[in-house]
Amino acid sequence: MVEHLSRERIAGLLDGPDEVGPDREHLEACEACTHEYEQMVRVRMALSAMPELEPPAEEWNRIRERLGLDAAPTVQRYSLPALFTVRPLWAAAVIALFAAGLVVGRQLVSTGTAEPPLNTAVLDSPATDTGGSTDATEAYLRTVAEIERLRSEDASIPGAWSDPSAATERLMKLDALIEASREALRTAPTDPALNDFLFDVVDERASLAGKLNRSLHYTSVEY
Amino acid sequence: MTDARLLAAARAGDARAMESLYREHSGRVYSVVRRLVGDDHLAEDVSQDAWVRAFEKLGSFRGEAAFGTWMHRLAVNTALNRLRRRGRRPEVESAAEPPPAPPEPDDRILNQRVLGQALDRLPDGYRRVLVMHDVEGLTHEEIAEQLGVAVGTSKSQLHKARARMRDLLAPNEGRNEAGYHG
Repeated sequence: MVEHLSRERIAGLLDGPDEVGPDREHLEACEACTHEYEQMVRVRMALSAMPELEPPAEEWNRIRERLGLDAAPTVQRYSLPALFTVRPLWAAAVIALFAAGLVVGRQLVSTGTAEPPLNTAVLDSPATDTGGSTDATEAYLRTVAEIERLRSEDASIPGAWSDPSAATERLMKLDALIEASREALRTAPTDPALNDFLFDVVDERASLAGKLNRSLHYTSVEY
Repeated sequence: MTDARLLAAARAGDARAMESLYREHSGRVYSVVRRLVGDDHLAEDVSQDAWVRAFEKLGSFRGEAAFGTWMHRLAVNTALNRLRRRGRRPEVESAAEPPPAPPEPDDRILNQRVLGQALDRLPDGYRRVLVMHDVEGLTHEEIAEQLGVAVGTSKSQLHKARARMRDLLAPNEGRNEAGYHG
């Protein structure tokens, strides 16, 4: 009677070439034990690829209550309202502030005023006091206008969190927003509001990409 | 906003920063806790406890590791402590719950739900080592340190756990009866 290896002993062989000896010699010669070994490898691969789980919906509220924190407006990284209503309104306000500041800044630069207001600090970039300042301002205004154009298009992508093709389209829009924001930051590298805006867009992109990846991965793993 | 900026704000008591940290890392934390404890209700308690502890001792986080790494370790420790307090559970396979309905034959698709059910049915000791090693990717040295056992014990438990998983997933292919090396 052929004596095969137990599952426990085969399991020990999964840990690599250090685990050598008669068990491995048997494994290489026995079709049944090789089959069992391969099944264990597949289980192990499936375990290592288990998807991230969603925490309970009310978990944050319970944590907040236990910590005695005041109820703050919820940070809804994955929710539709946050994506299509709150953020665009906020972004529009920021962009309007930039644009207004820049218009004032252009006037001040063109009349030779030495102390620009706070919002025109961005114009202290290398182009200041040279003929390039107007070019820098115009380039900045173009990128801000591009951000505004892209942002206004965001609201026309329904179902980005439930439909993979809509999510992919949304990712492309976010990529364009990131690129435009970075372009604007070349002129205004220290502007805190623009930096925060870029961070938020990058965060949203990471969240959406992660969620899309998980939704595509979750269904099953070949075994 | 980056973790560093969120951490600074959270240390100052900013609830929105705390929530942002939570949103960023809650999935990974809940996943490891749920798989370690093998029970939905217990996982909810443990996950909450881990987050409350994390925010209460955020001042002691010195940033030597990434926040996510620190939080993951804290969650694992919280789950392991809860399992120790719960004590030994009976062999779950003998409980009244139905078996995980393993699919056959071998050229099948291993459904994640079936895999998760099999994990839940493992005894605590097997499951924690299997989750830490095969799911979370910890080394035997790290597992031994966290569990306070010898490296050899961690390896031995892992091999038993893998065998038990196969028993649960493919009970009709039993190999531990007479005629097999134990």
